[in-house]
Amino acid sequence: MKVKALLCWLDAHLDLVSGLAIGLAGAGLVLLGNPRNSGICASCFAENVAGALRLHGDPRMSYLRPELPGFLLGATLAALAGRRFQARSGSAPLLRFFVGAFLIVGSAVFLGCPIKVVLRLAGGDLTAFSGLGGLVAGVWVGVRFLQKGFFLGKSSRTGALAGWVLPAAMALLAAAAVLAPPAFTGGLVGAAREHAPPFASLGIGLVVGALAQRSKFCVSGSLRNFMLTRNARMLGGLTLLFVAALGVNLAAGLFQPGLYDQPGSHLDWGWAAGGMFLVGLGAILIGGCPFRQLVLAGEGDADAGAAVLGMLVAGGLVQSWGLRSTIAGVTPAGKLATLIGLVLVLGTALAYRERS
Amino acid sequence: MRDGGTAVRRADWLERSVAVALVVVAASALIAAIRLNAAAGAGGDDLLAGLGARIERRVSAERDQIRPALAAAARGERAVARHEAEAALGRLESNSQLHLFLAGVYREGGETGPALREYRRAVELVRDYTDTRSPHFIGAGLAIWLREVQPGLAAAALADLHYLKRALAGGCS
Repeated sequence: MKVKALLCWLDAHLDLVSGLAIGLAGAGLVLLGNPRNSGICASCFAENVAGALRLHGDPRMSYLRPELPGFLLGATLAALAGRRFQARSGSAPLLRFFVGAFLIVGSAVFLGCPIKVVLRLAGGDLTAFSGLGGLVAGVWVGVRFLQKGFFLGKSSRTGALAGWVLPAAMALLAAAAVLAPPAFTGGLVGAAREHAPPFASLGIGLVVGALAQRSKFCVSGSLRNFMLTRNARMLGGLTLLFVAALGVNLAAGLFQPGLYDQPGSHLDWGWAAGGMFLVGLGAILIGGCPFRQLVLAGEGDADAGAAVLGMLVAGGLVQSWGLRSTIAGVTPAGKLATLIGLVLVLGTALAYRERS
Repeated sequence: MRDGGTAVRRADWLERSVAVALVVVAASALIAAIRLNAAAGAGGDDLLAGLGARIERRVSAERDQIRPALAAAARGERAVARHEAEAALGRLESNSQLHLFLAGVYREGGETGPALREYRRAVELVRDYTDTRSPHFIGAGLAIWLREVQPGLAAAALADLHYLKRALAGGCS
């Protein structure tokens, strides 16, 4: 009876469980070998996978990270188990492709996706506060557009094939990530060399993806729900993500607070905030941050699949065109791309407001 | 009604067949690509050795270019070595070994700001210098020295100090 009650409680609090699991996984993957403060980062993983697929030529950022297909396939398995897998499409897929691409541009300028904002803070990286501020502001503006009737159009059920394209492709990538030789998967030098054992990465990715599918957990989604409902309970999962990662970092001696000597960071705080503003706003317009897009695509949402493809293409472009930051700061091309992204995403938001 | 149901079932069957065929084709392409890579001898060790050899060749060529300065330093003629290196700086701006050499010279002379600037330039040119698993890693001694650098540096030197600390901290960038 107690077990049943516990299961019921867990089912009712899946967002908290997901936040806790992502926090533990994010910090735990660092202990297993992933780069510091980057245990889970959908945008870093997209850049790494793009490199492994030869979409850019920097071997330091080329590794077929098994977590990325793991997130998507975990969501697929959970959706199938819960009879929630449904192929659907038709809500401005091309726009979602471009917004998905700009989510990666914004993340590359900040140096991390919304989950990594929290993981960086939990590692003591005080520069991540700029990203957090930008993210919250971007979500707030996105929520204002939602309240003013922003709507990208209704998606509808479609042929099963459309929903299965990305899970099938990710199954192949997952197989390659754990079975193919390093010549194919990369991960030989620099940050790409820092990685957890592939089977562990894939396993953790599957569990996290499955939990995120069941709970609909998303960093920007949590902020959006809080702003819409003013219910602090909506921030529970996000808070637990931070607390769990902080706890692991403290226990492992990886919590090193500071501004100037943080791994994978830079001091262009204004641009970091701008990049995350772009991510926050874009995420609200297309229904979730890069991690959430992976989970949605795993459920059969072909529109989110288009966003994921945009993310992978952008993962290649941010490296090969330099639309990003380095530890020295934001590149001129990164600044320009952020501004273009802001104009396009704001333009989309204005264009898709429902008019009376 | 029955005909309609049959048509739907047929369409479903067709769609699933196409999906299976796509997966089979993609899996075959993936296996072929992996085998081609392996057949070409591009195993991870080979690739890693190739990347390592490329940096080794670069470092070796760069040392050749600054031989007069290195020879003077080996003879203990510090002033000559410094003069040679600084004179070469204009034409060998992208020579990472020259920047490392100059950084060492300035550091020994207690010129913290210029030493930080030269270390940063070297690291910007060859990121392997701060990669703990590279044979060209220079970070162990550098990290200790950076901790000892006294506050009160000029803004540019402070920016170089912070850059080097971030480079040594690793992370994904």
